[in-house]
Amino acid sequence: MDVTAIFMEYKDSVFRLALNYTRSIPDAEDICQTVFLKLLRQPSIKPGCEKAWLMQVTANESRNFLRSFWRRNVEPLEDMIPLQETKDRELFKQVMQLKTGYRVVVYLYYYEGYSTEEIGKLLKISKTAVTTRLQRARQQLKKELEESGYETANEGAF
Amino acid sequence: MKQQMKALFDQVTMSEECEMRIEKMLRENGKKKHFGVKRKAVIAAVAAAVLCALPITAYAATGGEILRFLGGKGTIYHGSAENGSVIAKVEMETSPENDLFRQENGKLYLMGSGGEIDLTDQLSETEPYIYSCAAADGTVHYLIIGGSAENYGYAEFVKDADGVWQGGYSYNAVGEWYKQGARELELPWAGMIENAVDGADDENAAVSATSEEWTSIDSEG
Repeated sequence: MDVTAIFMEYKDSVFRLALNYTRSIPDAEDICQTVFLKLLRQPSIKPGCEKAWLMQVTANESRNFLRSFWRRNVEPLEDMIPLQETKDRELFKQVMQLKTGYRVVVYLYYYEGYSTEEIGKLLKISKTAVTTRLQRARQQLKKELEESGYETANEGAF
Repeated sequence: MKQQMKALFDQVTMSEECEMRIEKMLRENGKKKHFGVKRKAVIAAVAAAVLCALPITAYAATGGEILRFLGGKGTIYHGSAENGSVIAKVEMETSPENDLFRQENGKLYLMGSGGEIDLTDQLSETEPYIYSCAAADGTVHYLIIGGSAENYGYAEFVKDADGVWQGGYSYNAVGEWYKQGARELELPWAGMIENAVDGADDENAAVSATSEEWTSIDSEG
């Protein structure tokens, strides 16, 4: 198993998922380090299942982190991510303001392209719960983005 | 929405510095072909997820303090939460020589002061294994250990020669055993630990509970 190649291929996916949980770059990076250290210790992973394994471990580590009673004080996240356009910054801000459970589901569904069933397995929640979270997250995003002047009319899927 | 999310998160990537750090860690470990000396990286990785709750009155004046743990050196930092309450954390520095545990052939060993202790059959998801030892200066170190040999967690807390709890840190300590151990040792942070472990169902609630706990400690200080 070439862990360095796996790292290079999936590092950003792991980072983004951890970031969606923690909303903190330093904490997400720390979680990434833990995840890839666990990968090193893993005797073998079935070829083709590396990403699924990494995402599962990242979700577990992130939940462990949120259960711990230390949270760093950090600068607002949207100020630390160099997003190019104003509309991206606004969307990112609103996504990050969603509840953790909604935020993670939105990310996995819309960005990573997982099905609601796959997300359910990954997060250990029912498919119905995933669908409900997605629906509520969409509603909240639409409302908040419209109030902030973001043009959701052209987005269709909102 | 998918397109917007795609365009957005494509811009969110791991920093170059972090990438280099992890890549180096992977590369070096690959050369050594064994995983026993990576405690430093493990501890560094969990430092952010680890909390040390301290009696605020003991440390607020200095803003920084060093605590010697069995697992390494901890530096205490103080800060303020958004609600104004005082918070503290421990940044751990460890070295391979400080490796407290060794995993081999499905077994887990604790490097105790009197030699290795095989913990494999003594670990549980619910009951803590508590190890203690005293340093020459009268400081007593307590390890609360639980989980399984494959997936263990632990926490270390230090009591000074006067019997006053100084602080602690934890690694992968999220089970019932951790709550139970905190209660058995009568840690002043047992309530917080319980809230944190119970926060599994609602992560945000766990964070809120923490802030309230800190507020109450602060007001006592």
